Amino acid sequence: MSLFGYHGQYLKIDPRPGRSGLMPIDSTVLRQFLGGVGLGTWLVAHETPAGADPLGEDNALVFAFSPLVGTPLTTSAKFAVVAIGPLTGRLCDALSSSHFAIAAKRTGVDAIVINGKFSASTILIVDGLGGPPKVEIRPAGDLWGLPARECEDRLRAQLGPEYQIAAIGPAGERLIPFATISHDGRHAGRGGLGAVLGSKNVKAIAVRGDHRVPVANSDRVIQIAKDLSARSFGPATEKYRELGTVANLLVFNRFNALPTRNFSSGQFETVEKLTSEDLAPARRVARNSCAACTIGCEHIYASQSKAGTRLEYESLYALGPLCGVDDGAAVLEAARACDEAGIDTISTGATIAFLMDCADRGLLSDARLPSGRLLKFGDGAAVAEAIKALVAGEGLGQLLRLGSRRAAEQIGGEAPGLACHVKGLELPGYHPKALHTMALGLSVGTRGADHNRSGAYEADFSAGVDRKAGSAASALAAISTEDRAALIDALILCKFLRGIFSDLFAESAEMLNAVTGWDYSADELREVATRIVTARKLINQREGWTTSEDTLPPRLRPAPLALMIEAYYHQRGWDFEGRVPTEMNVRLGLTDPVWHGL
Amino acid sequence: MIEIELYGVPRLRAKTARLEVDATCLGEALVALAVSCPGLAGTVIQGERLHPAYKASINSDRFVDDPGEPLQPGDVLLVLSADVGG
Repeated sequence: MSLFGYHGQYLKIDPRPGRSGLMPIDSTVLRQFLGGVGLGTWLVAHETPAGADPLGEDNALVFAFSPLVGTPLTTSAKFAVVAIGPLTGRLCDALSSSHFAIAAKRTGVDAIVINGKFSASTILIVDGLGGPPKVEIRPAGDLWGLPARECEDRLRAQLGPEYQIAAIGPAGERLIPFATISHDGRHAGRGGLGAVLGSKNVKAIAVRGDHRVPVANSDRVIQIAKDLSARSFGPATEKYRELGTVANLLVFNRFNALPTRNFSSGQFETVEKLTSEDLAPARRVARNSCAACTIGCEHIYASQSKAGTRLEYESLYALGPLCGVDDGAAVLEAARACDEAGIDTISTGATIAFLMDCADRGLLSDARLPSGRLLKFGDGAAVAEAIKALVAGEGLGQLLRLGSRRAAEQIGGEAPGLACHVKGLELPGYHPKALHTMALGLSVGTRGADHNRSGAYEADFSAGVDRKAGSAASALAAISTEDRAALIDALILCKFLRGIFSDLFAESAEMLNAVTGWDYSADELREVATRIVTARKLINQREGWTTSEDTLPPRLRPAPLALMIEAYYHQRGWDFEGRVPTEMNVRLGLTDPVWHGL
Repeated sequence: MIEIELYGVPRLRAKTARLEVDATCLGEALVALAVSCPGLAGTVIQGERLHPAYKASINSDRFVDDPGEPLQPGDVLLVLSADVGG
């Protein structure tokens, strides 16, 4: 039977003998897991043995594409990267965008799985032009050590402009557990998947191809694409277009939800200095968008980087108020330095803020950076120097590069109580004390503290919900946003579109049916979303998850958190300890031993 | 009198961050706001209601959408984009 929207195969690249090649993917798997984070999770379950060291040779790193990539549907040029994450030891998935997704799918596969460890630093070239994808392995040479963007530029100059490249920066090479994978200045950012690629001695993967995938009903796809594009120009996306996500800063501050000085407060007294309204006229130089996107949310600010620096709310929060810094130029420089090194701005800022807090409380034997400067709240220059020390591994940088959980364990004493993370992943810019439904979403997230896999804050900002009085009813809201996110991340579409759908599941079914020719219903896609969330949980269970991980640091826990978590497990259909019962595994088709570490 | 604070796109369109209006309920406040800031009329504000892409909160304590929702003198009405996340 012909497949539409998919190639029906993935490519394995592994230096170990007999482990590389093209592998078929059964259409049942594609129908049940879609693509993106769904397909990526299925591949991790099948390609990574239980208990694999996240930075060892058996931890498969998956680049997963989706049936919508390559269609004219707006924002569909996205890819997922999935593996066991080095920061958490749990399943980690991260998304990025643009031409790499399109070119990678055109190599003729629905996913690329990199495993094993190359004996020397390597560039992988996947050429899908004119036939099945061929893999060439080249020495990284003097590309090793370069920032990702520079590596991309040089490699494209060598290979030709039709190649699209994903690369790691120096942080990934040095196995910093919150290193990113970058493409065209965008990052698969959270959880350290750049370190996983670095652990395999792979600096970059370059892809090109000419395998276009037919869709089942091209007229209908074009019709839906036109409608979606028209709606994407409307008021539901205007904030992203006109101001970018940095516009969140003032709002969160007003709602006492802007984490400040390592979460010691929800308000930053000099926040006005960092607002988008103030930053834009002085520094914004351009707006940009991913390939195949009609929203155009990227706001580029002047910085030391020739290309300028993208600034998002999360980077601004973590490198600004969380560190007590109100100097816009210092925040932009810190964001630029993170991009250049290839490190997650949230984990970087949160770990620096955590150590600033430790220094403030006298928990560090020496709170000085290599230059002798004290690491203290409010000092933008100290943040810049801390990032340099982190990447270089000098002095305090040895602690900083561990991430907050491991640094806290090393410091000991009161320090673990000050480290703001869930499962090892540092918190995004949503203060749990002010947003109780979000507190639940952060606690139970399989990736760790995460605002992209759970949009539970949407409930906190809704009529009829008391955001400071979470209850058992919060569980349903958290589950709803988690399932919506799972579907969007498997399709893959941009979450900034979410406001334009009146019924995400029904509209997604129409899109998928036009592309694949299958007959999805909204209910089947709800089941797909539940399957993906459950599959992630099963992988975490097999990796050693226990219920004690589903929580927040004690000082950030809202009073009703335990009640909300209990209700969440119940509403999910899990047992009282949060484990997935056998009958649910049977219903969702998750009985294969690989899901259970058997 | 009540105070209205504007955030994000509403602030951008209104070209002001805050203003005061006479109103006893949400609907009256939004009508008065549209009169004072014509850039909001028909886009952010549709009659006595906000377009679904925007939200209102009283005193940052609770979100409201019923035009009849009463307002007390001294209340602060916050108007912001509905997509609050990153």
